[in-house]
Amino acid sequence: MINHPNRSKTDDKERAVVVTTEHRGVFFGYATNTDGDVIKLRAARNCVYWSHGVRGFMGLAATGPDKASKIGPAADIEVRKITSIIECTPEAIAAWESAPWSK
Amino acid sequence: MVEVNIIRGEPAKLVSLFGSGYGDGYDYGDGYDYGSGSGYGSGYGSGYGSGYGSGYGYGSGYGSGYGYGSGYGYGFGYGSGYGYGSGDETYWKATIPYFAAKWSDDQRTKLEAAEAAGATIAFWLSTENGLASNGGGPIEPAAPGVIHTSIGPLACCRIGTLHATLLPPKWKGDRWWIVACWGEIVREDDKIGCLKREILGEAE
Repeated sequence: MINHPNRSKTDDKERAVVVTTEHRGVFFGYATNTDGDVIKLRAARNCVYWSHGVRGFMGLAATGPDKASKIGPAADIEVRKITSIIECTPEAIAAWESAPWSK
Repeated sequence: MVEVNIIRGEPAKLVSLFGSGYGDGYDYGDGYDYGSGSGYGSGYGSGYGSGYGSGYGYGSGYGSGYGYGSGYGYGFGYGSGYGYGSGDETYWKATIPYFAAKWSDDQRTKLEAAEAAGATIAFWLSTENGLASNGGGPIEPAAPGVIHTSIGPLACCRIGTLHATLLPPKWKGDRWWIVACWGEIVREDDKIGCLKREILGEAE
């Protein structure tokens, strides 16, 4: 099948997102589908702690974690009880990807 | 501030969710008032004199005054905050292969065997020396292969029960270990209680 741009569905495009849950989980990861009660996140990372400098959890999608933040290792997960999904900026993606795992 | 695209959710409601995080805001108001008063007084006096040229006089006066004032104040506040979230058990369980990938073959074999045998795989946190960091009695310092046992009774948060968790960030500890909880377990929130806990490897 020819990969014509008009035939591509945006749902199939993987996007870097920050997802928050009812259990106060704050995850970064890559999702192809952000609809529904359960979404799959590839290479998800849990933000265990973020500092004042991040300017709130939405800052994790805007600029990403800073050096004072604590980030869990990457894992493929399914996220439930979602309260928000925020698309990450390129700056935030770079910060998440370069953040080391820290307790 | 960089704008972000919110795909789902209502941010204003979300802020209150992160109760573990908080914002410190302060405000103050500087009020000042001013008053001006005006007073007025009048006095009168009279005198008389005799012909010898001396005289005296007296006078009295009175006055009254009133004043008025108004004041106003203003203030401003700002806040900044930090937050944290422990994530959820699904996530931390999914990170176990990440940590196990750094172990020896022998350790990974033990992990697979424990999972196959139905042991509950979880995390346990210790001090730098491998000792309990969240209460509990004296134990052999944690190291791969060390097995802790207890006589019970089996109940979470009770002496006689060994503990583990699937939400490690909630607990104190310098070192994180991945453990197998053997036999019957009890659960209370994220806490897991057991009577036999095998240290499989470190989560580092």
